[in-house]
Amino acid sequence: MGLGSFIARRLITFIPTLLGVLLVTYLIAYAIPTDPVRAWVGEKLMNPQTLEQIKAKYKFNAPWYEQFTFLMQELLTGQLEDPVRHRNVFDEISERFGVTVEVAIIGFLFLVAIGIPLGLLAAVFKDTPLDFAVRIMALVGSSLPAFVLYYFLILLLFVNIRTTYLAGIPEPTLDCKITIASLPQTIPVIGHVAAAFGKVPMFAGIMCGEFNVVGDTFRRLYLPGLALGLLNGGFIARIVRNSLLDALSAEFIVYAKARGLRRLSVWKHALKNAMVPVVTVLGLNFGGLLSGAIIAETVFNIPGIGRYMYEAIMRLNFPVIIACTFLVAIVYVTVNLVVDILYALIDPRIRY
Amino acid sequence: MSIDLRRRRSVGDIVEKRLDLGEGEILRVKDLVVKFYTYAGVVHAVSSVSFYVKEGETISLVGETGCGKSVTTRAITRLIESPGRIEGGSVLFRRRSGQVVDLLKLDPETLRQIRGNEIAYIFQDPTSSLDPLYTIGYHIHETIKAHSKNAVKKETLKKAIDLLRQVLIPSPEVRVKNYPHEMSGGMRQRSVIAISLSNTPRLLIADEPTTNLDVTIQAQILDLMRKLQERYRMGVILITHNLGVVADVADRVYVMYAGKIVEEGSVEQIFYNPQHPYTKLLLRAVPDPTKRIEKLESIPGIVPSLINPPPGCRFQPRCPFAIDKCSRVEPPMIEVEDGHGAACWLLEKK
Repeated sequence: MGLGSFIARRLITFIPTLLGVLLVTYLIAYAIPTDPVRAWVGEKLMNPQTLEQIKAKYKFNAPWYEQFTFLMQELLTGQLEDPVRHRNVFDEISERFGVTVEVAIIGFLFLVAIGIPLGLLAAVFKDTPLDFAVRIMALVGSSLPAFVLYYFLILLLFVNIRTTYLAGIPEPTLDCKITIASLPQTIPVIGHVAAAFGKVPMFAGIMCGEFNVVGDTFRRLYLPGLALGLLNGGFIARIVRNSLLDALSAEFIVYAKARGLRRLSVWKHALKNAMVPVVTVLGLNFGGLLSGAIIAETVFNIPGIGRYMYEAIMRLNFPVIIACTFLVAIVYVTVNLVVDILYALIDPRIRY
Repeated sequence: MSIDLRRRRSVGDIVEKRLDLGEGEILRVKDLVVKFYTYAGVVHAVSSVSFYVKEGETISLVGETGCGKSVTTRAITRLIESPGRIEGGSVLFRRRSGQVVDLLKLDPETLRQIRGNEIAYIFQDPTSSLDPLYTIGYHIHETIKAHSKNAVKKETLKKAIDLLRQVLIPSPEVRVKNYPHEMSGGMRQRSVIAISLSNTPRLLIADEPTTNLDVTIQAQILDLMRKLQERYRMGVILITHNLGVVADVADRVYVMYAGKIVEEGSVEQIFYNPQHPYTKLLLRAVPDPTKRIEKLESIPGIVPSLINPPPGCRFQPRCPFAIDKCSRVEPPMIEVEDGHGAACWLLEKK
């Protein structure tokens, strides 16, 4: 079977997965014994009439499945509204997702730059102090509350050394934004894709040749990126180390040496075999970053999806929670699909 | 000046003499010692093992699992990984150029050039010997490429198809593009043989090449190896615990027990006139398919720990004929007839 039919089959399995995720999220939110409408409107501005109107609109007096069906209808027709901001949820999300994509890319770069070299070194210098240090780093990264590391980095690099700033997000010029927004009219299909990518300021900067935007973005976001990289880098390093050691101790490596292969060729066999588990973990990590690092975005004051979710949860903003969960679920299933395709490219034993 | 020159020449002479091999010999292992430094203690895996291989001859190392057969042969090209260490002995090898070298003292790059080129290995499990992410053709290509810099992919592919045809793989043009998992066990082992023969080695070391295969496939593989050996005039070291295989293909036999060679001789000498008690018991343990078997013969006792091997003869704790001396002094190799010797004190009086 070919790649096309594999992707088609996987896309069909997306539907029950997404519905299941949404249902579970909704049920958990529904179980909270509270009145969300009060939280939306705020105590002081409460007007009994408006309250009843909102309750009726979101069917809070009807059974839970009617509420859920209503939310689903609004979500899938793209009409879901943020009851706090009174705007379409998808407009709010598309404004914020670009920043989260930037944080995810920078964080992922740090993750790869920290995790992979450390893992390789730990494997080569197995059972030395360096290997031990990587082990400690993985342990600390997994068990330390993320905000402790984040505030420590802010104290060190922002307060004391002042290497970064923590307000505002660099944007491309207005001309650039207008050009990109008009792309779908000038170029048929690719224009839509390009315009979607252009929503990310960093990509827009590249598309318009305004590379100072890219540089500024990096300067603004390197601190959260570094923080995310440090937090998960130790774990990635452990995975890289263990899979490389597994590969190096395989019989085919002895056979490769027995065939008199040069050192570089022997390493090629070991590294390629070690890649399979590393690709999985990196893929899942990238998915996690793309769905918004809630704590990092809150601590570092980044107006992305993570902070939007945080605010929605604080105000029991069910429609936004559902929409964000929908986005996160789509990101995860897509990343999983990409990882599976990469798998098959690396390992001939895996066929679609 | 003249004195210096003479002195230099005489030193050279000594070196030449030490690195000399007998007529027709391509490999001579002498007093090889390999130890493994584990947490539990030092494992004396191979203790003073000596043997030789002549051109075009098949020798067989026989013994129970864990007696040091594989370690011995892997030590020949220093394939012992940490925590193992080669602690003594010499491995003289006659290169294709006629030059005799000690593989244990050779620089790593020259050793690499010998591995897979002049000395090739076949390991027990073809499935784990092959990298699952690469095709059979690629395995052959890189094995050739490692030993001739200007190998071109087009030519090595042709060579690969030819090699696969020689090891009787059907439709080699298709199979060359196969990944290991797309082949059966027997075909995989034949592919491994083809890979190992890529550079027409002078010495082939086959470490239990048929153990993981069906009996019918076993015979095919052994038959194939014999034919290829005749064609290429290779020396072959065959490791096995299957005495039927030994009787079938070997010219000379070395019986190993607990890291030592206990008996050596031609196939006829070993099978018709075994001298060491271990060899005798080993031969009795082979069931005769023509007779009804009441109870399978086994050798009582267990293989001794190689961390603290018993003093004297290592087989003495299990030996039904042991005398007082056996537990105190290690028996030397005692020659009983031409080319036939056994390390046993019982032979001393004869």
